[in-house]
Amino acid sequence: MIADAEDRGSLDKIRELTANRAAAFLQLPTPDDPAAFMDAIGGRVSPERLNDLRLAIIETFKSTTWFREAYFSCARNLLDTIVGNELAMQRGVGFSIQLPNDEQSLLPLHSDAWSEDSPFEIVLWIPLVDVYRTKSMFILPLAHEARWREKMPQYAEGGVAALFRDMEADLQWLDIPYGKVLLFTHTLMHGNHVNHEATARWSTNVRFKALFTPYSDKRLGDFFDPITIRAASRIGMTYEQPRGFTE
Amino acid sequence: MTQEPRPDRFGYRGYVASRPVRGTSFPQQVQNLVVRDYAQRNGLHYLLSSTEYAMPSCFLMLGAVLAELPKLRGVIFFSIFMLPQSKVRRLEIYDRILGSGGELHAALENLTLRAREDIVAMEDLMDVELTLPSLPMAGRYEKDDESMQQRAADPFWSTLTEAL
Repeated sequence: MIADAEDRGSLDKIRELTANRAAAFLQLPTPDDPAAFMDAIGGRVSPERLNDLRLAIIETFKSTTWFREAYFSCARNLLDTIVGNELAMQRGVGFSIQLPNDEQSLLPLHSDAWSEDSPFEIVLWIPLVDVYRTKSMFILPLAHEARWREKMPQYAEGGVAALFRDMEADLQWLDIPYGKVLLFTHTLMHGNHVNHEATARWSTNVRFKALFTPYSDKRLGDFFDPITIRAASRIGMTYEQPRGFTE
Repeated sequence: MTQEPRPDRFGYRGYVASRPVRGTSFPQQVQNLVVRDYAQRNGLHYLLSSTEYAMPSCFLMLGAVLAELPKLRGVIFFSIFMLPQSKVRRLEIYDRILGSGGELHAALENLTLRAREDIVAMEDLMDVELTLPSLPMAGRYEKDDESMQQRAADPFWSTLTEAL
């Protein structure tokens, strides 16, 4: 689902924080136009330094006290509707910069539920620039998902690359202008490919799930934090039955 | 009341487990790596870890670490989920640590207890974690064949699926 960011001011703050940290890392002046600066970052950072830049920005996200609240506010009502009103939120932030024609930062076709993630999780994916065609991510629409999932065992030898080639016609590249957010279930196959557009992709992703639904290997405490717990749940969690009766 | 750390106190004692943490057994070598890495990243002087005994519900080594608190800046647990399941006992432990001006760190979860205000977030986490086993699927989504078959046979899920 693609929707308008519910708190555009917070999204702008996140983008400004990101652009300013990137400029500081690259010893450049603070950009007047974050969007133009981010789009054109390919001319200012080599693929070899890209991961260091990415990690520096992730550290800034972690150490910025308002960041998580701001991120959540971009889709608070949407999450309430789709996921629930008692939520666990990923503690860290997924962050990606994909330079034009860079083959080092690819995320092959996958579903997160195939590895450490619980299928009860939802991803809030927010681009910090306009993304479209190969500058964006692709996703396999729900209408095709079951058919390709059943075919997967046939690709034991050809691997994910062969699977991608064969299903490419069914994949959808998501055009998402800055100011909008994407909420999707990572049980759907998705990924990215070489960015053949002229400008760089900057995107963030954070997982949410209903607090009291099953977790997989990304667990409460080390990966997720409770962010909303309602009063009735607090009462129930700490309630103790009368004890000490004897027959 | 929380006290300021005294200058004659030194270092952060590691505290690792000999029994599974949330159902997973971590080699002590790995636990110590996690604790040492946490200490290094946070600029804490690491002191050789105390290892809790394997007997269920045994906290003798934790008791020894708590007794040592007047000489320490704090303790670094491998995981916050090594704390006792009893809320009363956990609150007593927080009291002892904060009351002596010390800190509790949990390396795996990257959590810190430095002040009474930090207790709420830590206890929210513990309360939810201890509630999960009471939920459908025991709050755990397993991906092996046997678990998937069990899930398919679980009346909770079949009733829910029919309702949908």
